[in-house]
Amino acid sequence: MNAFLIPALSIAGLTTVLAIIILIAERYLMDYGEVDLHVNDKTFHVKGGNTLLNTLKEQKVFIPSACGGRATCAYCKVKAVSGFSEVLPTEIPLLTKEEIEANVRLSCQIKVKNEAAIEIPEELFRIKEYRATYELMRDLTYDIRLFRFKLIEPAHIDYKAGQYIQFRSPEYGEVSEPVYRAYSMCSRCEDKDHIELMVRRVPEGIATTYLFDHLKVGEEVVFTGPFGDFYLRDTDRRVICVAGGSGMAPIRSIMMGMTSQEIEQRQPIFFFGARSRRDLFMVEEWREMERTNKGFTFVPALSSPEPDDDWTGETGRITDVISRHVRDFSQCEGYLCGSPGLLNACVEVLVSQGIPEERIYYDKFA
Amino acid sequence: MTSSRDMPAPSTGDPLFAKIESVLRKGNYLKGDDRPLRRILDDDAAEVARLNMDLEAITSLMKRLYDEGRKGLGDPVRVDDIFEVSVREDRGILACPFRDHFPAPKAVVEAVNLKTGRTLRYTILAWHMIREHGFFQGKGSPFRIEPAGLKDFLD
Repeated sequence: MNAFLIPALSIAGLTTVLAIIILIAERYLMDYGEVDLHVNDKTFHVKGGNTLLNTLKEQKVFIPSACGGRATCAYCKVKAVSGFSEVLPTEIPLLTKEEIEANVRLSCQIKVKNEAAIEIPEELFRIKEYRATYELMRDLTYDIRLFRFKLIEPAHIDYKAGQYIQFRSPEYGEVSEPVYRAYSMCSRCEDKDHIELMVRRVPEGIATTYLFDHLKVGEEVVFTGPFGDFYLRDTDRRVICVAGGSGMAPIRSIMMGMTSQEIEQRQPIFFFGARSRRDLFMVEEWREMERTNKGFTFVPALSSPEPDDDWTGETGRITDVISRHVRDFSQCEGYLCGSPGLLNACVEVLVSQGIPEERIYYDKFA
Repeated sequence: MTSSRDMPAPSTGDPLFAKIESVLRKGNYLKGDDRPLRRILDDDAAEVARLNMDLEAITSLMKRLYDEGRKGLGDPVRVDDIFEVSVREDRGILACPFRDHFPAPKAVVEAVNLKTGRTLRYTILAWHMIREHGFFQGKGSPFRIEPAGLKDFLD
């Protein structure tokens, strides 16, 4: 047994050491020098050798990415005009044939080694990195909290109600590297000095454990944003919002915007699904909004009310409740936020009721 | 859900293997377990063989419990009159540390075997890593699944 194991382990150990040496050499010894990176009509002088995603980040150009650069989410696609290698095996599963033909690449996978040029949507230049102070917290349910942050630098943020930020959860405890997580802002977008997030604790989640258990009032945090195309479309159509859990966040921001702009004629209606009363929150705030915005209706529904919940409102799955309150879907738009399962179920219901899929909006990161 | 079965599994001598082990340690997937990744994989493979477990069939059932359970939108769902399954989903995805580009939805499946009363809790990433990589996680990892526990639950 030992006669076999010792050489095998020796070879394994040797190759592991060699692999580590190669990784270190690539990281520290391969010097590509300074190169020009052209992004649309701008030119950045950058240090070569890093991924495009990280190179752009160092230049304060933030490309959306939800997987930490592991070629999984495919959000960091950009158009590579020149200066990059052939499509890599790690990119192929995430690019369509049309995208490959159009030189679309994953910025987390390709490296800037020489002069190169890319094209990105202009609005990405508006995304910034913010430092902010954790100002206060409010428990909404047993596992959902509202976190409020005051901006430090830049001191103001411009965003559309419904958009999200990417929060940087730093190293803590046994977590040895920062991770970024996307959270929708739930605040009033006219308040440019603050953002509020509505976060549900994820069991063993790195970022939510940091937010719930480690972050202290007064401490500084970092986030980038705003991201996303989930925001109120400028039409005359009726607005149907559906959410569950912390998915209430962007709907709150959108509805506060509609209320302050006195948009009542679009008769917004918000269906909020919860399991039992302990999962329901901010009901009074929504009732107050109904009083302020005469066109607005809030419909909470419990799928499994407890006997002592004393619940007299709607019951059943939120997808079943919608058609009890809306008769004509032909002139409606859908705004959804919640778990992927909820989104799928809601899209199915709204489409079956006659809302074209292109008029149903939700976050891509969901 | 995509499969990564066509991706070659990295071997011990592969530079990628060292990187994967590093990512697993940083991500708490090997929490409290000082054994090298190769040893963890080998020990669990030996245990699966000793218990005569059909991982293909077992993980297919785990996937079905997830698929059926998520129809409840958070409420418990009966599956085959044997299991009661609740699926908690959160927004976002997790990347598989084995770098196979599997976008794991953030979902925790909690299943009860109604005949035995035994429970099983697993994430979709944990399910994927068992199915595709034979990785049950380190002994102290919060989502470690003991092969014997998995077998007991399904029996």
